[in-house]
Amino acid sequence: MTPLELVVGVLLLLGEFAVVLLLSPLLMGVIRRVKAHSQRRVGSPLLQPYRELRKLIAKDSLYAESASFVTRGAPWISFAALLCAVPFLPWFFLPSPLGFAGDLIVVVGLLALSRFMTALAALDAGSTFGGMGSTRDMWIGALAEPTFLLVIFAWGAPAGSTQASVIVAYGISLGAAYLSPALLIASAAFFLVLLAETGRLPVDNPATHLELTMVHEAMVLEYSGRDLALIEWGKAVKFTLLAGLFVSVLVPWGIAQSWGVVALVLGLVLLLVKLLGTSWAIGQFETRVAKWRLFRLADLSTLAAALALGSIVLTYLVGVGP
Amino acid sequence: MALELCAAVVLLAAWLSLVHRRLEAQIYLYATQSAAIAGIAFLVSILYATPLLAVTGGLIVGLNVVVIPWLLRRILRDLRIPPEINMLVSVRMSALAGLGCLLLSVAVIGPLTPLAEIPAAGLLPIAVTVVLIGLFTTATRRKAFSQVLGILGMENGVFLAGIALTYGLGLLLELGIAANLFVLAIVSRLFLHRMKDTFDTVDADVLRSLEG
Amino acid sequence: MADPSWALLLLLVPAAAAGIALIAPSRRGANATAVAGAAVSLVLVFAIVDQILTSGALTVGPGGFLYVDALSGLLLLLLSLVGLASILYSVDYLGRATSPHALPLPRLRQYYAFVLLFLFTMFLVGEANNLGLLWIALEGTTLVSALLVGFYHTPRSIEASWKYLILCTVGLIFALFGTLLLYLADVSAVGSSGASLDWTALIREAPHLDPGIMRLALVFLFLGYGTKAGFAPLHTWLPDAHSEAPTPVSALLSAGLLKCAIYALLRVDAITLRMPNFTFSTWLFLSFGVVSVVLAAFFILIQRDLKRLLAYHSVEHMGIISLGIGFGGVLGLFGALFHMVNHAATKATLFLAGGDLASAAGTKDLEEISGALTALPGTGAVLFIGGLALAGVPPFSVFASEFLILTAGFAGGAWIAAVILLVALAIVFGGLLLHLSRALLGPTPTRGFSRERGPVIGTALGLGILLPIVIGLGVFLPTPFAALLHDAVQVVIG
Repeated sequence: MTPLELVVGVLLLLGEFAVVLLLSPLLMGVIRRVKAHSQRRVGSPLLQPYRELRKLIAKDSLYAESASFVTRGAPWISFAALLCAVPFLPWFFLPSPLGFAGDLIVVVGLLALSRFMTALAALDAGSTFGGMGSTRDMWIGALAEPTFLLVIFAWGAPAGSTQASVIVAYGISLGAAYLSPALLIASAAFFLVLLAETGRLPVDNPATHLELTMVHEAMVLEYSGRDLALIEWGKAVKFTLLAGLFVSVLVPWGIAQSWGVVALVLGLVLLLVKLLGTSWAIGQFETRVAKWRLFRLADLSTLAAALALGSIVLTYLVGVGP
Repeated sequence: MALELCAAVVLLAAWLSLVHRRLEAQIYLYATQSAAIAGIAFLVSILYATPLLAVTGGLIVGLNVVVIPWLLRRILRDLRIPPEINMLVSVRMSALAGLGCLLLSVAVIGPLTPLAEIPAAGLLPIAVTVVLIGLFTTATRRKAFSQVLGILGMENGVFLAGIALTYGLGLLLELGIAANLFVLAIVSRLFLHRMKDTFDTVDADVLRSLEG
Repeated sequence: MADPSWALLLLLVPAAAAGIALIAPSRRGANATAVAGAAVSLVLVFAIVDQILTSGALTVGPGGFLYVDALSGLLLLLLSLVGLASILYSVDYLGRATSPHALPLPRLRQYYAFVLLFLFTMFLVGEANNLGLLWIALEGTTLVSALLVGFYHTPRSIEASWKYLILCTVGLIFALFGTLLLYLADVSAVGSSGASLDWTALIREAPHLDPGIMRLALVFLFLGYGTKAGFAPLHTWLPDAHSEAPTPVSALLSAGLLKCAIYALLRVDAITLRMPNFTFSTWLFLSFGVVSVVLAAFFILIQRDLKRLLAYHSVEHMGIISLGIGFGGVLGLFGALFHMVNHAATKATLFLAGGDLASAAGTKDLEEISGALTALPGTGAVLFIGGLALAGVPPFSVFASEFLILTAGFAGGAWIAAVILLVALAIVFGGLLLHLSRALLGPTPTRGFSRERGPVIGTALGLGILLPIVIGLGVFLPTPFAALLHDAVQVVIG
């Protein structure tokens, strides 16, 4: 690797971080906007999430008297864990910068770490809401994570690897034949995982503070100011991570396989389009479903797990997969 | 690729209708599934130059996508059937049953020697899965209405198999099969009405007096 | 006479009669239409059978969709005989204004239209060459007969017809899938350009069919048509439907419809018998036969309801026929085909006479009926004869065919199945005699039988058609009938 390549590589890596960090609030804004539109409301402007973040960052954090260092440190660790996952995923070019060091299972682990820190912080202050929220969130995590792993295996089975960039490169090389029923079914399962992991309807309602139903909001009720900004931003980043993974695997075409300028720009633009499309679809989906009772979520995750397993069956036993 | 997409839609629709509790949504899923099957028929007719199959696709669109869902919605409305279904088997078990159906169908179809002459035969395991899921629905749902939906789902699976294997059986046979399906829908509607008049419910639970 | 249009006419006549019956101006008109439709059909069948015996099989109609050979002839003969008998009985039972069960005119029109349509679909089963068409016809019989089973709109009949509709439709969907697999098998033999579902083509290609696909196809076809044929354990709809349907319809179901399903399986069997080293269908026939015979024997012992008792007898006899086909060889198949006719006639006789008894006694519960032979000498005597015949007492025809089947079993070396059949026959014999002797011979009834009886001319005529078969064929096989049976066996074995 020449020094020039190294510099370009580092720049591209930074570019990935920049894209994820800067784009994620916009995606939240899009979802809100789509939901508002389909509910015949005007809705807040697309850039509202950025303004909220700016407002929160400008404010000081307040801590409960009973809070320990955990409360102060958790948002940072949680956010950092999410950022660490970025270079393991394919965004607008291949191979992923840290692809050699870890596969999608690492991503699952990092997401779990982030979830764990948030739950820990929620318990730290000792408020009732925090305890409630963290139990609920861990329950959802316990349901979603095994299914996430199954989906990774289902996706990886045809390519023979659980590494995101290998799967994507395999998809690009196969062309249209890549879109087998097995892949589509696994992706449907992943869509359910995505909803659960990012706290969208019908798993969690991000727009409610109703004590009976809120999950994520209950956990972060104690936070304010800069810390809250970090948590909100982290939530957006997590959504971007999973949505990015979803679109990259489902529609891998357009991701740059070389470091040419045209290919990179094209990959970037297409990534934007894919992510905005996913956000639009999620917004549409959310207006059509109601929040489910917590214990019915097990039904949802069972369905997702069954679909993922079905996809593996199709790939291995029938060869219907590519 | 579009073929695979349609096949995935067919399978997903069957699987989702297995876990969905609302009858209205199940009718919608049935219509979606039928549309995907019609799509497969059109695609196969183009890809393998079998123009008659387009007629089949048209038949499916007319009957399974438009007429039968309309009829089912009317039944739902006229009989004031409660919108949520009663399950003998929980949603969770149903979702897993879908997986079981897939495994069974793979076990059944797997040993067949692949036929090079029929490229679309790869759709066969999915068709069998849809048939089995329909069978499971028919067997485990308490509402007579759901049993009809299960049977319609089974028919859809067989249609898919027919399209994948035969590229169309000939117009006369297809018209006959379609006519049978239509009459089946009408006859079921008649019986559901009678059931409602007689028992004031369409739960198949009341049908328990004949034993032994 | 050598004109294939007879076969087309045979489809047209019941269909047209059904249309006419729907607009019949009076009860008399409706009755006459139905009887005429069935009688003309019978005459046409005689013409067709004569034609088959003299000049062999005929391909009829456009595209070779219809094909009539000796096997079809046998089924058509059986169907038209039972059809005419049931319709004659219906005239007395439901048709005349004076009869105790008389239907109002609009309902009567519907009834006859459905029965004639039912006959039409069953005739179509017998004449179909294309196996897809065969499936369509059989599904047609389900739809029409479901309406007939639920004809009375009582809670129990609605339950029976719903179960019947759902179970048989589910079964038939499996059968359709099996039929598609047959097509796939034909593709494996001749390639996709020449493949078809015509039975005549399949039988020609039989030696080259892929055994793996055929095995799978057979599983689905047996599940499907086996449900319809009432093989245990797929028979659960059968007692319900038979006991709740109007009596003449019960007779048609048991004597006609079940045979149509067996006929469909025979057609498939004929194909597989021509495949080298392929005994899977034989194995299926034997297993379904044994299970049916054993389960039915058990249920017959504990059954109290007259019509349900007869229904379980149907399960048993379908098992016997299935065993006969499974034992195979000329002897076994001859016995099985012969038994199809005998069972149809005997069972129809029993349903018709039993319906008479039940309506006179006001109950179908055998524990509550006794002394029928003295109270109703005519009906009682017919029941007595029919009961003995059904139990397999010589010299009646059922005995003759059962004897042939058993002989085929022992001669063919299928010892276990043959012994099981023998034991089951003994149990059933005891059970049937126990039930019937109490009802017929017991002490004079305390509650008494209803004396309000309508005219019985139609019943007498109907039974007059059936009884000669029940009694006569046991001792004397007319030459043309023997020839037809023999040709039918050749159709299957080849």
